[in-house]
Amino acid sequence: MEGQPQSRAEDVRFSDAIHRSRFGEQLEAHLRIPRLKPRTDDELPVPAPPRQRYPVPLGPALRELIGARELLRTFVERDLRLRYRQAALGAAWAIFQPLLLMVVFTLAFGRIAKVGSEGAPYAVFSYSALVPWGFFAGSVNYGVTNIVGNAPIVRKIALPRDVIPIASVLSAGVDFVVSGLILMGMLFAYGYTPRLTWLAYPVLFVILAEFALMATLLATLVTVYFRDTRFAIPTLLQVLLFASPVAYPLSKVLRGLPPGLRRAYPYIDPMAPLMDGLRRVLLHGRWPQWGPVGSAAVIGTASLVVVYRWYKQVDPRFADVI
Amino acid sequence: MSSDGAGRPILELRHVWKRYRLGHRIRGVTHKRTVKGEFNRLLERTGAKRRGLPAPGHVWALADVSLSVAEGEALGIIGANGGGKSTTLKLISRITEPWSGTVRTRGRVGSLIEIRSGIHPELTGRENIYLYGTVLGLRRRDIKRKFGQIVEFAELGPYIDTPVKRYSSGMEVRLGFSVAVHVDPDVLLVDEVLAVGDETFQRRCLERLDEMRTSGQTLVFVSHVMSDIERLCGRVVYLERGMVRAEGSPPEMIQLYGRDLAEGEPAG
Repeated sequence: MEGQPQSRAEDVRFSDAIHRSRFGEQLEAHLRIPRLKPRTDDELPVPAPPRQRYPVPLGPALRELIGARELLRTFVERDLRLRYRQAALGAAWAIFQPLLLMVVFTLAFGRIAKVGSEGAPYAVFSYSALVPWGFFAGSVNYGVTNIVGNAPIVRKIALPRDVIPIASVLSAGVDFVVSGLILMGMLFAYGYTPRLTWLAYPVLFVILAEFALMATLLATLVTVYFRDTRFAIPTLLQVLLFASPVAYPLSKVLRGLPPGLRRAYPYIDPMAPLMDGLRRVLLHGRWPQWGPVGSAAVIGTASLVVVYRWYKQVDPRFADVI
Repeated sequence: MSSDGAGRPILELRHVWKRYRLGHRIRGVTHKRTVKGEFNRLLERTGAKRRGLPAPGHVWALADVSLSVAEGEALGIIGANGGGKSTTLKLISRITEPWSGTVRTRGRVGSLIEIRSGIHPELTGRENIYLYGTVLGLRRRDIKRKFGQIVEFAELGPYIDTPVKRYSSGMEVRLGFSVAVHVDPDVLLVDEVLAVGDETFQRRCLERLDEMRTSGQTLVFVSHVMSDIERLCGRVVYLERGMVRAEGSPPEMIQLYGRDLAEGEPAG
């Protein structure tokens, strides 16, 4: 009763005002517009042409990406801001995640299962592989979250779509740097000193980053079409974590395999020589197994190029699908 | 193509087609691509074929559309809902790619298409200006330079460091619009965005667009408000169900459109 117009005169004045305003004009304009039925195949004046392919060559795609580096930076910044905003512990979570896994692994694998740690303290042993592993898993996870979170932008704004997965890898890279510093501190606390073999670390990391980017592009692409990835990806990552020598030494994994497979295994699972290599150059002062690492580099580069081209081929249609 | 070809076209669409897959609302299945959705789609198609009906797979949002815009020109696009106006702008700004045909543009295309989508609620006004500005293709250094102007135009002075989720919807729209009109693109696409915000702000936006146009900004303007079309545009393309129905001066086209509306069932 309260909300009803009180008198007729007032009612009229109100509608007058509406009609005189821009809103009134807009309202009227919109009310008058019919929604016409969309055109179907039988209503075409000329037969529809076949679908045209618009090839996206690698060169211009990369040039566009370089042109978008400021956008990339903004996205990374925003990711980091958003991730830890309203989280009481803020960026400390980047440290806690692998640290907590380390504690769990130390208890489960170090104390209970006693899988061995190639002579190093088990905590350092597992953490030194969990840090790069966290980078890989974080990239893929952020990629899936980011493409879903940025769906409105993809739908309405023209921007290079490869920026979203690449920004995810970069922001996982920031987490890596933070937890890498903790690893450093831990190494020094346990009395490790820099050795010549540490020089191989960046090389191994670049190969790992190739895999991370490739997997993130792939996960993003699939997520645009199928949201199943939100459940599938964490599960797959967990399987991959236990399939790779992160919690236990590579030698232990090999011993569990049939003899015929032992030589082939580091070539089949590229994660194995990478995780093993990233750990042994730090802890044991031994160089990585260059054979399997080289093969991982080739597989990583080739698959990255293939997946990136595929992604660029499909991403102009993201707005219609996502 | 264009009626008054002052210079090489800055923007050109040639025989552009755009097809959309149909949503499946039959049997309560949405258009999402799921295994179930795809399965139903298959069932429906074969079912339709058996009954001798056309497969209900897709519709044409644009069918053989050609148009061009000269530098400094302000083109209006009118037509009923479902006419293909927004699709045309999406293709020009390369949000999506056509089914067939070519879309050619020179320089940077800026678009005012749903300005709220580039804004993130968790970030502050300031952070959003940088985010949305770079999304629209501005350099950070340019944003820094224009920051004062952007905030002033949006009338957000004291709230600029508040997260946008605490803004009113009017403030949010003002923020988006203010960034978007400060991008300085070579071609500016405007899609019905003037239908948001409060009235005074709308008038100021219209004035700003008018200013940009007189200073030689190329403009493609979509609206249902004919007085805005008449005020801003030098030429109008009338789209009807995905095809160019007619093209000419604003008064002519508005009259034709009005006649079609009055007849109820537009010719086609």
